[in-house]
Amino acid sequence: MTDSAQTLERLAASDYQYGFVTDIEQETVAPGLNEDVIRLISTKKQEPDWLLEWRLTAFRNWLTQQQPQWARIHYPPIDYQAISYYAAPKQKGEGPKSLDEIDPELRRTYEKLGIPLAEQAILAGVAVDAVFDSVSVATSYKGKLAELGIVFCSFSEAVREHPELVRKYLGSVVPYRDNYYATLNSAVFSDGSFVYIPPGVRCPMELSTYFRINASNTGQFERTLIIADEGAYVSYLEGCTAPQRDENQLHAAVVELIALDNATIKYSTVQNWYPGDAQGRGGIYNFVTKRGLCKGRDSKISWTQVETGSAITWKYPSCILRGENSVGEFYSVAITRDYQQADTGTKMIHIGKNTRSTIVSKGISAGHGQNAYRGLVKIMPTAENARNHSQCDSLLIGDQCGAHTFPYIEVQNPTAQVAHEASTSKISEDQLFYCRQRGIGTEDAVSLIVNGFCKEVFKELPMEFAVEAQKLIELKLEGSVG
Amino acid sequence: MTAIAPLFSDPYRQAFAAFMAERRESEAIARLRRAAFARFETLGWPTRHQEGWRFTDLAPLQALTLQKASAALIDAAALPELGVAAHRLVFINGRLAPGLSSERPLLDRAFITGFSQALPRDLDLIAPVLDALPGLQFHPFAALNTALWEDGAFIYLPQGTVIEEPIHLVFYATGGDMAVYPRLLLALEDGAQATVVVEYRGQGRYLNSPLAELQLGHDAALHYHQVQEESPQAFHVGGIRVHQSRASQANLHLFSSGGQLARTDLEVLLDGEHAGCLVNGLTLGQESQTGDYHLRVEHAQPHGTSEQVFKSVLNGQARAVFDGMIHVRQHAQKTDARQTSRNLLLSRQAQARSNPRLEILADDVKCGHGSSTGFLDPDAEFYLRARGISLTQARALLVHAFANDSLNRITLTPLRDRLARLLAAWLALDSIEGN
Repeated sequence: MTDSAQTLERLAASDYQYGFVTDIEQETVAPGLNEDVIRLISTKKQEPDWLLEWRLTAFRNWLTQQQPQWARIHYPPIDYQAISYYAAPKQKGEGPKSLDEIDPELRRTYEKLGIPLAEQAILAGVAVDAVFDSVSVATSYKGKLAELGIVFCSFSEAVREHPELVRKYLGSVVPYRDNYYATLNSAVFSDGSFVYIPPGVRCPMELSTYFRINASNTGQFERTLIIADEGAYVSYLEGCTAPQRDENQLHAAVVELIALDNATIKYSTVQNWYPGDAQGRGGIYNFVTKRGLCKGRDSKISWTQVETGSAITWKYPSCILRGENSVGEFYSVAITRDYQQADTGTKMIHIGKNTRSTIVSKGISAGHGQNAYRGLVKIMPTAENARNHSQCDSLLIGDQCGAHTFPYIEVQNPTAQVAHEASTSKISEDQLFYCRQRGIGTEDAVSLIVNGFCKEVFKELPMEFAVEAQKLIELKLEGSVG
Repeated sequence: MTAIAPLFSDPYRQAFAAFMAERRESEAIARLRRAAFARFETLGWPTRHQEGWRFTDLAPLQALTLQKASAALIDAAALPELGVAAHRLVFINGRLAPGLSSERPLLDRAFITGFSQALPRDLDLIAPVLDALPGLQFHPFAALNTALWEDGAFIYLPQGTVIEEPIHLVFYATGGDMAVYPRLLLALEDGAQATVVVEYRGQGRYLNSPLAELQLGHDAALHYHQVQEESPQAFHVGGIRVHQSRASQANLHLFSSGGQLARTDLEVLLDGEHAGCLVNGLTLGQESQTGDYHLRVEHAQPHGTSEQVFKSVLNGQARAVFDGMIHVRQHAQKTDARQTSRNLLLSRQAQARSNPRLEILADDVKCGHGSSTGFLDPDAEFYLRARGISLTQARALLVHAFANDSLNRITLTPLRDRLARLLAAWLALDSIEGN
């Protein structure tokens, strides 16, 4: 083995730094799933009847569905009755009125995670909604946003304060019967974020949600709904971590985006759930449904994701391009190492005229990691002059890992232009040699090359996130280069 | 796999029993047939809920009451000619027609013959290699072919045999809702070389479900051409299995312009170091034709190279389906594999579905795929029109350039020229709707 190979292998052993458990009083519902549990969740969240009915319809539908088997991922069957579907930090009397009233233990958790809650939030100019297990604990910077008419709150609060908006849009992009995990989510979703940007408003700051699974044996089922009204703009960030545990935990979220005429939604994710240990024990099963609807003309939805965590990632942020001239984008970096598995990609459904989409997917596999891109580009007969360009590149580090590409391209309109390109390679000895010859150590050279490989995606991330993502990748690759 | 459609398989079971009762053949072959039929029953008739059959609509085929193949007389003029001296075997409705075939002298121990002649005589040679190649294990029609084939071509070239003249195999079907299951078994021992042209033609409505097994020993070289010009009402659902040993080279040219539904499943296993494989496909589709290719190229050993280029030109309501997989096993380092799928849509209702896939488990490889679908480049059109060429002519020229690229890779000149004429006629026949 070459010297560089050894350095790379050694680097792989870095630890998960967010693996701590917060010792906090939790209120958890006993494991199991039936209609009573759903009623209990709904009652705890003081939801209106229509929402309970919606949940129950979803649950009944879920019972008739089968767990999907088509992805290139392997895991033991999940016992859905062994999961607790609700876990919340115990409240003392009334809910918190301001940030100061939040449990200091919880505050310390988020500080450890480096989330700019409270003062930090204002300094950093980021409004944060933090979701701890199943409940949204604090939404910072709310007043300032309210002045502009922007609604940024937890999902439960939105159900109470803006039921008409929630009722109108909930399930309009991801119907309750969409797929196994989305249906499960529709039945048991606990909390999440809700954003509404009124017409013509450009949201002055990045909105951000931080998700954390803390309690053991729980699943997290958050639901995010973002609506950008005519001419509105919003950039939304999402981050995730979880403690280190030996058993697998389930995370099945649903995100729905709706962009009306001339609206733009930019959705960025840095996903760093606990990936399991080096032997593949534990870790989060991340089965997420994310979909955006470009409903209005000239609307735009852009997904950027950096997927570094989770034992299994099953996630296809998609765009339905219905409005004329609407634009869909998908930028992704997915990295798998140890025994992580990722089956991720996007769907671009072109319905409207002159719709355009871009897909840039970068997969990096190290150790025993398996990384698959799976995507669909569908040009419907109505999509005159639709354009798509897809690029999927894979980088292999080590000879035990795998990189896979499964694009589905369906064109039903001759005016469309659809092109797909994919490549798979390893870091070439030439590139490494070139760097080392100039006095750059192997480790730095690898990180340089990998960052160059991911650059097209990183440049789409908001600045702070881009830096974080870059560091995360470096950390992930420590000791895995070969 | 889904359950069997019982309504469908019962007539098949009867047909199989009747078929077996008629045939007098060795137990080794009969055992093979029974196992294959059992496999067919387990797999069942494919449905569109199965990933591999999502875009292949078999309903019109399923609606037919298929008849057992029977002998027929046909006019020799309906059969394609290569225009050069060739070893020629003609099969009518799946059975060898010796009167239409022309055999040429061969060296000792080499065979180019029909199964019906070869089987009793060379059972020891055939039985161990028939249906022995991996691949298409989950293909119901491959199983059906193994259970029900009546005749076919057996080609065996011993070590170092090089056959200069092309081997020309013509399969002709005469309609009447007949189902024919022709078989081709080709074994090239180490260092052997051959050029094979397989042509499928017919008249009326029928199902042609051929299965070809191509085995290449060390350093063997094969040029294989499949020319599918079935009748416009025909169904063609076939399979090809290829097994390659060290440093062997297989060049497969697949041309398709006939049939209302034409599907070929191809599996290539590069099972020796430095093995190389080229698959060059061209589909011309018009009216409501469906041209469908599913292929899997498996790199099992290091230093393999493979290239697949599939093009389709679609007019009318024609549909093209391409599903290609390059699988690189962990051991197959230094693999160089490339896959391209390009579709030209000439009309508003034409549709193309392209699904090029990569599964790579080795790290030191160069693999890529590309896919593009669209209409002609407006800049190129403009360029030609600016030089006084009419729009119709300009388009015909550009389509010809697109498709002819595939034909240019064919080294067997007389065949290439014939296909080029066919392409020109096809382009003249169909006005390009444009948009």
